[in-house]
Amino acid sequence: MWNDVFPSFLIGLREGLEAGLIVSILVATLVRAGRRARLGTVWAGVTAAVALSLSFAAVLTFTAASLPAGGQDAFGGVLSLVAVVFVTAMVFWMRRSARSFSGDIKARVTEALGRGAGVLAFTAFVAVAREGLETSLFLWTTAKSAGSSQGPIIGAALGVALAVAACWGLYRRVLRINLGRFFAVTGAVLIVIAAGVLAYGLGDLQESGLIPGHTAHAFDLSSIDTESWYATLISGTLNLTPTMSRLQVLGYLLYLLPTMYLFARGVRQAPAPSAETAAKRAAKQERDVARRVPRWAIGTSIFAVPAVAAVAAIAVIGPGSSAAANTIDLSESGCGSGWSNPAAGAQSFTLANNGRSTAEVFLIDPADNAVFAEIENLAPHTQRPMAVTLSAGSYAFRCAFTDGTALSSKTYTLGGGSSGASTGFAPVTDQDMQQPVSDYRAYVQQNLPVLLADSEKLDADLTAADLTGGGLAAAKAHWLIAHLDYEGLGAAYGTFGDFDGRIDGRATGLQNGVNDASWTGFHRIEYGLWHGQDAAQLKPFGDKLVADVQGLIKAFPTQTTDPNDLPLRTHEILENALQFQLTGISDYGSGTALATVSANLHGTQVVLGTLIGLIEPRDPQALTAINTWIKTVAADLDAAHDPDGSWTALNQLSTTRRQKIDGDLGQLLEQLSVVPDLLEERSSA
Amino acid sequence: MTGMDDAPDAGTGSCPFAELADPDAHGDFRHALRRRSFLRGAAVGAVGAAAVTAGGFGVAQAVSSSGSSGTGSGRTIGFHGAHQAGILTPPQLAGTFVSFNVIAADRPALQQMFRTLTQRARFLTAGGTPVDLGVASPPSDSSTIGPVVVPDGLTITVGVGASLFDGRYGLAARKPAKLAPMPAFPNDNMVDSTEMHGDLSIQICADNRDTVMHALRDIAKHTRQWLQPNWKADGFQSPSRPTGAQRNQLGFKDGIANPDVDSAAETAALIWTHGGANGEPGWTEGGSYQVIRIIRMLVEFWDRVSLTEQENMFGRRRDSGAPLSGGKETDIPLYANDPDGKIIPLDAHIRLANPRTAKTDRQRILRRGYNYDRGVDANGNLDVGLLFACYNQDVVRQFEAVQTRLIDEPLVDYISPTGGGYFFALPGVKDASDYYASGLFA
Repeated sequence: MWNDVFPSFLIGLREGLEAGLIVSILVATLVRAGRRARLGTVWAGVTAAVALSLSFAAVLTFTAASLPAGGQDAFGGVLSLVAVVFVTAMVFWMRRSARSFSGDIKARVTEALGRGAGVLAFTAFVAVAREGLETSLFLWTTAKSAGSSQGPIIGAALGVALAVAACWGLYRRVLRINLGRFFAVTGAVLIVIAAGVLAYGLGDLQESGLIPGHTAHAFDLSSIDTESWYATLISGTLNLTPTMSRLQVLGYLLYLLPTMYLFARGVRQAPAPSAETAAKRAAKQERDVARRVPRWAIGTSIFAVPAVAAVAAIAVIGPGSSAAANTIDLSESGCGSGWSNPAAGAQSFTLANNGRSTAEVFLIDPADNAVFAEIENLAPHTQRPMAVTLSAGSYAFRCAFTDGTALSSKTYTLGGGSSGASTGFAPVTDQDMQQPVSDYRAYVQQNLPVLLADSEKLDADLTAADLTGGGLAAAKAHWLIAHLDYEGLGAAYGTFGDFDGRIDGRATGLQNGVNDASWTGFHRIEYGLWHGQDAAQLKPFGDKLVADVQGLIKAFPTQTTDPNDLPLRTHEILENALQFQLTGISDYGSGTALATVSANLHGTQVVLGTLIGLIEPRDPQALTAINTWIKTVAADLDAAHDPDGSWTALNQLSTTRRQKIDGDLGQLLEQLSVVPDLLEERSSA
Repeated sequence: MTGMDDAPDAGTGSCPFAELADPDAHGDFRHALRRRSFLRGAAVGAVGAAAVTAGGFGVAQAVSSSGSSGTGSGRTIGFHGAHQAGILTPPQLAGTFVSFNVIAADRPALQQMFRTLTQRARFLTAGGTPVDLGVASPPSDSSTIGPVVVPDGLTITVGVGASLFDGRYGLAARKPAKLAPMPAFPNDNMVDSTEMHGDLSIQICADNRDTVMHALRDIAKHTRQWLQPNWKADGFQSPSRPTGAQRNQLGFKDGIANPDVDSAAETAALIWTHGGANGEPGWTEGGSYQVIRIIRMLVEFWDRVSLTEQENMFGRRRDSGAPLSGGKETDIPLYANDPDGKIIPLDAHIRLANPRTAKTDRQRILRRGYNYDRGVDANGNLDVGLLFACYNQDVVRQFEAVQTRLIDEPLVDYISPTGGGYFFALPGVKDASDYYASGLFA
């Protein structure tokens, strides 16, 4: 817990000093001028700023509302600039009023302070509000996740307390200075502070993107730890940081030097009203104020109005989702820190890769490595959301960087209950896929010679018909057998490289369609056989088919099978069947589309068969559903397969039967679509 | 919010949307909407620096009721009620009619289909975050309308065709009394049409086209094992030009003389079927007969017709929509003063369609059509027209009576009905435990 205290302590100290210094000087000025009655004005400005900041931050924290990216910076930046203008104006106006320190200085200052009640209040307001939103966001967020985070709250409270003490000390100190010096010293201090506030505000605006040049550093002393106590003190008092942009430095100098010069030289002498009238006017204003609304009412409403508005806003907007947005940081030196207050239920993470290389991130159960959520490629310096619903249990992040670094976070233990929690799935490794790939390749190697033999028969039929002038019935029969041999291999999307196009290509992508000279393979022969082309014309295509199958048999052992392709094939083969067979697109006259689908279904079953050992332990229900729908589709197809071996052509099917086949295959595909995600290679998880 | 928010209470039987305020059905989305709106409000507040809190909320309210934005129209049309939405609902800008055949194996499967369809429609019309299926599945939603489904004025209206009541599911005895396949009327051009009939119709309407398509994709994905689409026709509503009812593609205002959907008496007498009355089975209470006709308009031909002839065919002025006997769109045509059709010809479309006699008063129908536009024919003429859709209590007494009077009206030379069908729009899904056609299985 104590390691959480110090950073928050420094934040509290810095923010407290930033706001407190200006306020202290304002208070000291009023006290020195004998205008304690005016203190209420300053405190009203401070209170209003605190109330507004706390309220607005509470709304942002306790609802799902959020500032857009850079919004908080823009808010702080604009208020910083406003603060600079007001502080500067106040310094010069006091300087002018107290120009001649001889004589009735008290009366003059008093009069000036009387006139400037609103200015005082507003200066106090912007001085506090400019940092208030950020600080109160921090406090509310910490409070919200309280329980595991007392540390930050204690730290921040200590920091603010120390800042208040320091400001009190400063206040006591300046009270003792001689009156003439008092205005000179506080004025100079305020100008230095204002210069820092200006630089700070410019930096905020650059960070928010409203002003360019955020990365154009004038100097970069990032070797200095910004979280160190001395850096914190400097940034808290002078608003200077180890890294500043050129614009910040330029703005700092361009403000500080001329302003300080003008201040030191003294501005033009203003004709001062007589002490008497000034005193009278001041007294009158004092009465005016007194006659207005009672002070307690103002004070109460300043605090109550934003608070009530915030409560109302939270009630109207509704609470944010139970998931607090957690930013989970990862880099090559650490993975998965930042999950505050882990509890079962809907989680909403933002994963931030602060490292140098791209990362794969998994949310796993460290006991069995089951994967619950993942982000595949998280580039360096990018953030991506990860949403998942978790039940009670133990979880950890695992980060695998492309440079080879693999890390795990600490184990987070979640209590509580949750409905609709995601299921974790055991990751599939490269090794897991070796057996299925080798089984599938063995199947293909075993069946390629069958394909060759049947292709040779087709070719022989074409030769015979050419020689004897006989009919093509035998060729048509062997064409179907050989074609189904090929369609049953489970090929899809380049499984066999260029051979697939040569052996089973369609004419749809060719310049001259079915008349294109480059068209070869089963469909070319089909087109000829069922469009009255003679054997002599088709014989060369028979020869070519045999040659291509031989080429495939030779090439296949050297072709690699990507392990990830196998799960993809389980649905892609039938996606192709739905797209090209059941629409009739691939039918060049034989009317055997349903036979082809049947062969494709067989090929799918073969591929699936190699993967059953991986699917079943992970998602037995999915496997059951797949098998059910395979049976349904198989039954649909069998009904189109006549006892004499012929197949019903698509256009012979009734609408009812065709719609049933389309629907059943569609549903099978919906079921199969989970396989690639389920069996995606997740070796790093 | 716009539109049906102001509709009267469902207790009168006049409106299916009164439960709009039902927090169970819509609370989640409304929260989501307000939250998103507030983000924009907060942004404005932050830029404005001062007056942050109050300013932010004021803007939030304004944003949630603004028109086209990332959250669509921002309006939600209630799903549950005695009647389905999408009937009395003023037509949204985009509409699609889809006919399906049911391929469910048996009656329990049919019932499961209706339950699933109900779940999807309930979710889609209310909006929300799609279910997260985790790492081992493709995503559950297409995200075509963004990661969070916006309701965008979506209505889904389900009808059943006569063919659903054949022998397959043992429902013959429960067929709505007047439900039959749409007959071919003289002058129809429906032989060999591939866009006729179906076991089921789904009318999907929303304030944006992408929302309609998103809903259809979602429904099809979840019902693939039970439903196969037969045909689909997409339509659009034209804006008022310059005022009043939308114009059809012949340039005339259409849908001027509809029954008053805010009158409980009128909707009860003309639109909703009543179980036990008129020979209807009990489960049909609160349903309505739906007629869909794809009516091509031969616009090239039409544009070569003189204005007088055009106006005489319709019986209305083309510019204002006023009946030829009146001065403005909403004027009632005065046929009694014009027995020979000297002002409004006796065969003018509006005079045949609605003679405005006591006898024909019960024949009035609620038209809810959409214009369509889908390419060109073999001659290069535009294939544009009207997706005629209407709802009525008794398709024989009302639609067929009107359509029969319109046989051989002069307008038939310029139009060509090419498809469509009769369906029975189911009674409303009453609450979170009810489902489409539950009465059919009770």
